[in-house]
Amino acid sequence: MTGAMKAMQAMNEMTNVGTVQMTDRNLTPRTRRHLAALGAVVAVLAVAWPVDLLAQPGGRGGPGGPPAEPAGPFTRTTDGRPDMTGYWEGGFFVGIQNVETPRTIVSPSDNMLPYRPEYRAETDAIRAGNMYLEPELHCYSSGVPHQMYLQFGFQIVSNPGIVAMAWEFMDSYRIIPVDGREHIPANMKLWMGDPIGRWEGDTLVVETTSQNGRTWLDTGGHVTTDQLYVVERFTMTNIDTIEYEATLTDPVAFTEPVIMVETFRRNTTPGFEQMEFACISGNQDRENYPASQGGPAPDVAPEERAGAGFEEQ
Amino acid sequence: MSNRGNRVPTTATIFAAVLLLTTALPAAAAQSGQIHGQPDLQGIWQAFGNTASDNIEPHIATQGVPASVGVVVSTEDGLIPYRPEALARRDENSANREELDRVNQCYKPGIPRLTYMPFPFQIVQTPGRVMMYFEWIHNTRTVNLDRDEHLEGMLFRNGDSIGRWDGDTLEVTVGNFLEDAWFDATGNWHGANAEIVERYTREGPDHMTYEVTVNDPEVYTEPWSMRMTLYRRVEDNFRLLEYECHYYRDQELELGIFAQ
Repeated sequence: MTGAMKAMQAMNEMTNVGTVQMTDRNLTPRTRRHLAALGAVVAVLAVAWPVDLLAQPGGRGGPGGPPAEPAGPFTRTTDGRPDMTGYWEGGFFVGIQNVETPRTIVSPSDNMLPYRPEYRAETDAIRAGNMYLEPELHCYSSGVPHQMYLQFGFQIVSNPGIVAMAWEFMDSYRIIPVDGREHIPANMKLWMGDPIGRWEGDTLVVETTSQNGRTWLDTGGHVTTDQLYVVERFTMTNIDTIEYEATLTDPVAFTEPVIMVETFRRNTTPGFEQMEFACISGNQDRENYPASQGGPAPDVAPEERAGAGFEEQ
Repeated sequence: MSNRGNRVPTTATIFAAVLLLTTALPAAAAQSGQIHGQPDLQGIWQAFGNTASDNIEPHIATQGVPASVGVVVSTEDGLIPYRPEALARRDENSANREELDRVNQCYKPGIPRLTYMPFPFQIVQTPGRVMMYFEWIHNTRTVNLDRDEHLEGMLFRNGDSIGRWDGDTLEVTVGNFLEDAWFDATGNWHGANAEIVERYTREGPDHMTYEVTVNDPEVYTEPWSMRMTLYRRVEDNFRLLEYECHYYRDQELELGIFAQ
């Protein structure tokens, strides 16, 4: 664990004051004193901020009473954090097929991934003739941050100590503990990595480690390695908007960090809900993927191929 | 030393007072087991030891499968009250389970089977939804508390789940199944038209009673029910990981990519 990570760990422990999840079983005397000091600060905040701490549990639309008035630009959870619970839509139409656009990549300044030559060559080769390798074609999970700008939007549940996100696409989810815990052992690699969150003021900061390096950053062949480390920042700017920023560090594939941005807007459709997405049982794409892109099926002329699949559905 | 000795209780006292001041509301909510004004079922849960995932009826042990008296509680013999032709179909399922079991194809297993497969799942609640996240191929269930009728004309492998609170019990009605589905790896089954009612009742910090009533007159002579205990995973630092069944299957069959 690096010094910076240890510092974050200490902050995580401290910021647990005021949540129902808090336990002091494993805290050192020094951390207890930090907690006491932080607790005093929180006490001052509580006096200055009584409306939010006394807000109706569940906030807007809670059962058993009239809708609560939004307190300020957004409602807060019972532990005083921005309440991101709800359904959200991202700008998937821009970055999903190719992240190398000014709308998505804001650093480096040329809006391109700063690949080392061998990884740029790998991506170019995939795009030229081996798109069959696309993980989502095989119903494999998308990884982070790719997961954040998928089609169909997603749901956030933000409760004290935990933020959970669920997508209709592939039924994927991310469960982000915000309780000061440590990452899983580094030798474990997961499709969606291991996310751990903490609050920096009103911004949710999520560190994701342990990705398996088999996911792409989009559906367009931009590869990653298992050294990818992602820090995401979720900042609510009003009740219907979350500004999102992801910093990607990968010393193997990239020559410098990458910063990607997105804006999530609340889906305010009354009664909206996410449906089941049965990717594995419904997948017919894989067996029909053309040989010219590495798939098992013979290539067919465009006039025979176009629209045929949609008509059959 | 005496200074230090005096300071520690002072700090502790301040800490306790501050904690009371700042957390009175959430702490009270936690004690009464409430979140968003609902009974709090949040946590990571798992069925252990009842081998329901293998066979919900009473069975002696076989290679790799421990014995169990079963989880069917509504009949005296612990057996499912099948109609004769439905029982024959169960036996046929069992004989051809390798090929017919959707779980072997990594498809969604249906409800209630998903609940008691040997993998943990996590419950997280909002005012209008009870979310269930499963480690098994990241299946996600939304129990909708905001409507009381099934979606019209929409069918799902894991069904359509609508919930309500009956006192401290979460009662979930599941319908709109895409096709017949199995309860276990033995081929015990229900029809696509079955209506399944689940009841989740927390019995304390670490236990929950899970009851399921199955009504499918085409398949059974009467409605029947099963019951088991779900256990909360209390290990330090426990979390859901991944079980990507289809990826492992692709590797075995040398399908897909990354086959090694």
